[in-house]
Amino acid sequence: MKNCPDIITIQAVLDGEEKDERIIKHIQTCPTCCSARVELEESISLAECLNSPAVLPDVFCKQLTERIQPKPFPAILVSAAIFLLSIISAYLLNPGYLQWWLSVGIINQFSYIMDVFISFLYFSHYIGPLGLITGLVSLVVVEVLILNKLRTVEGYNNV
Amino acid sequence: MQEILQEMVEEYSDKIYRLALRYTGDREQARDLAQETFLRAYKNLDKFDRSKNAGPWLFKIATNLCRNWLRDNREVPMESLDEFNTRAENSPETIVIRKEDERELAEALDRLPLMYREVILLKHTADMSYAEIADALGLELSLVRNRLYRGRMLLRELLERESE
Repeated sequence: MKNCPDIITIQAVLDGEEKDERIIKHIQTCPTCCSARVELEESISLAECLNSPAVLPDVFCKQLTERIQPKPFPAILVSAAIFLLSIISAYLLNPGYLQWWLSVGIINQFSYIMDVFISFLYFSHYIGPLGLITGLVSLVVVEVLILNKLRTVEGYNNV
Repeated sequence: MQEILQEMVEEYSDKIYRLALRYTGDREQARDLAQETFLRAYKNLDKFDRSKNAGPWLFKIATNLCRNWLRDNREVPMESLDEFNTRAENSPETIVIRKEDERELAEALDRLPLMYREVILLKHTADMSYAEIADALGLELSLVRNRLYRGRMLLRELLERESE
């Protein structure tokens, strides 16, 4: 009686968590521990009923993969928006600066647009949407600053 | 999907689904909770120590989601209890008896205080060790042992009351 383990230890033996051979042997032979063991075994087998054979449908993995895959970055829209922004900002600062653009001819204009667009697509793979947008916004800011500087140098305000 | 996450899904998705099913009693909700568990795991993969077993980490996420679900949905639907019996190929009489047992079990579990329920479900639906349960719930090992004992006794008592 004195050497009987407590009920929590008996439970640990039944759960396979207690590996002490001495305690295991005691529980198997001691009549006092035996009644506690039987009661615990009944409780455990009742709780075992909580386990069920329910399984997830086969589409689970597919649905999860779809949710995990990143949304495609709208490179076309972003490149178009940034390009438009740079043109408008140039025009607003000085409509005369667009003359070079109109003078390069349709073939050069098209190749310029394609170059810019492909560059946007290329970079978007490596630096991600946030990096790309930050980079392009910085470019626009630099462009605005340069155009402002040129305007001051050429004395546009005085014309 | 990253390889490590793929392994986690293969090993733990059904167990997490069963756990969530016990909390929600609803297949759709349980599926959503299982999916949300893996989405959160994916977002926090950098915080996961890859030298450790993923089980406790995943079940910690799942248990937290189930807790939140319980907080927001006090009314537990009982409509999908058939889920637990769909794979049993027994006579109609046995199925009826099992459904009745299952209903009593679900009701008893619903009455069980959350602190016991969490430990019991991790033990019996996820088949976790005491140490893993302690890790998943952030509890001392001795507390897990005590709660498991008290929880099992209380569950039995509640089931006996149900069947009277």
